[in-house]
This record gives sequence, C-alpha cells and structure tokens, in this order.
Amino acid sequence: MKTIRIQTDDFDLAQEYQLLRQLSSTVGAVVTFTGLVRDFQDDGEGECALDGALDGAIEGAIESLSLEHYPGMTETLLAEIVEQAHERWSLIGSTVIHRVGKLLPTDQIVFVGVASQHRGDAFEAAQFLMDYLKTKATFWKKVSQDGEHSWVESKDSDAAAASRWDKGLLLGDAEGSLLGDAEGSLSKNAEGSLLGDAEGSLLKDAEGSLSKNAEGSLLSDAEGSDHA
Amino acid sequence: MINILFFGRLGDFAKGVPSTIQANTPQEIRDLLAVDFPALAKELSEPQVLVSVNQMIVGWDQQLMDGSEVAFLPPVTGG
Repeated sequence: MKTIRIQTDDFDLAQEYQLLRQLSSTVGAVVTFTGLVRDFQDDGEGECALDGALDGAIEGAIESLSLEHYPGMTETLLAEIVEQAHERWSLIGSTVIHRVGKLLPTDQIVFVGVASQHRGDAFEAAQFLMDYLKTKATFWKKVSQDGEHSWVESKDSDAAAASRWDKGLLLGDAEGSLLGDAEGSLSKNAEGSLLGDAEGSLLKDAEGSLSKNAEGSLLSDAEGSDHA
Repeated sequence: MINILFFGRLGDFAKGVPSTIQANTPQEIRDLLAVDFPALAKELSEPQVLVSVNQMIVGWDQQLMDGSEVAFLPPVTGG
C-alpha cells in the first residue's frame, strides 16, 4: 500500500497508524512521524535567523503559516520519493500526508508512516521520506503576521540531511545499494534537486557521513543480530 | 503561447506578469521578463531557482512547444 494525500484538512494520527498496522499480519513495525507548525518565537533569536523565515520584517510569534504547492507536480514528486523508499527498503506499506493552505502554530502539517516487518526498514524509510520530502517536493511555506508575510527559506541542514541518502550509505541495505544506487541518485539529484545547491551539499557532506556511518552504525549492527 | 507560473516568493515579484508569453526557451522567457519586470528577472537568475516544463525539471535552454507549461521554482520548504 502506498498512500499519498495532499489536503487542507487535518489528519487523525491514530487512524493512520491503524491503517498501517492492519495492512497485514506480517507487519512487525510501524514508524510514524508527525510534523507540527512551530511558533518561531520559541526558538529565540538564533533559531529565528537559522530558519531564515522572517527576513527581518516580521518578528515575534507567527500568526499563521500558509503552504503553497504545485498541484500535479507535487503528487508526482511524492510518488517518486515513495517509490524509491519501497525499492530501497522492504516495506509493507507507507502513508505520506501533507497539508496545504493556512495553518496555525501547533497544527499538524505533515505525516509519514511506514509499516514493515522489521524496525530497521521502517525507521530508515520514514526518515528518508521526510528528508526527501522536505528538499524535493514542491511545497513553499509563507509566514504571516499583522498583514505582512515572508517566505520561509530553505535550510542547508535539510539539504545535508537529504544528501546522506544519495550516497548509497544506507545502513542495512549494503547489497547493491552502494554501487547500484550511487550513480543514478547522484546524477538525478544534480539535475533535479529543488534545493539548488545539491552538488555542493553532496560533496560537503560525503566525508562526514562516510566516517560516521562506518564507525557507529547501530542499525546495521542490530539488523545483523536479527539475522544471526 | 507558453503558460508561465511562479511559485513561492517568486510569485510576489510576478504581480502583473501575463500568464502566457511567446518564447523558445525558459532562458528567453527570463530575458523577455527582464524588460518590464527587472526585479523578477533578477530573482529568476538566482542559482537556486529551478525551472520545469510540463512539471519536469529541465535546463534553462530547454526548447519549448506551443502550450508548454513553464514553472519557476524557488528552493522548496515543505515538511
């Protein structure tokens, strides 16, 4: 099952979880992620600047957030991302829900849920889906307050998070993914990453991620034990 | 004619821009817009801005067909 929904309405976390849980008696793990609209004021000054949302023009608590997207293209891009997740990990089902339109602080904005036999697949696929969704799907956030608005700017940290998955360094799916995946993902990304500086991020991040994964991958260890 | 769309912050700079234009490439659209909408053209020249034709990301020199939908996309910020 692959469910993708773009909607103005809210979603029910419990219901989405149940749908994934009940997909099959072979489901052994369900990982869900829910993203909420944050009040940027809570971040303090530094984070405000990091978010780049406020352009100096709007300070303090946000009154509302609106989400614009490119109808048609967004669905296509999300379907591609979900397809990649199902190719890379052994998944029984996945759900991606993204809200658009006007939202308020504490509102739910995005849901990613993944069902699989084993937790490693579900954890990784959920993280991959979120990382890719944030950097590749055609959504744009606008913050409004007192009749003024400002567009949220993309973050280098999101680009770096997404680029980890481009290098085939994934825990657990070493077979084939290291070589098989690297070329396609890299070239696809260079052409088609909506973040613009994909090439820079890929290079910048490569070394750090390599060593990090090589040294201390808890998940690949865990999965090894499962099989053993 | 080519249908043109502007998303995110680019939409703020595209107020008053006609929804269709005659051009052979996205680059040419940008050049044409620079005449009457220099601020928009400057934004479109930012390296992070991508262009799509019929909802596929393409290069700025992509040849356009009559009826193509060209969209200008600033860096995305969903999630």
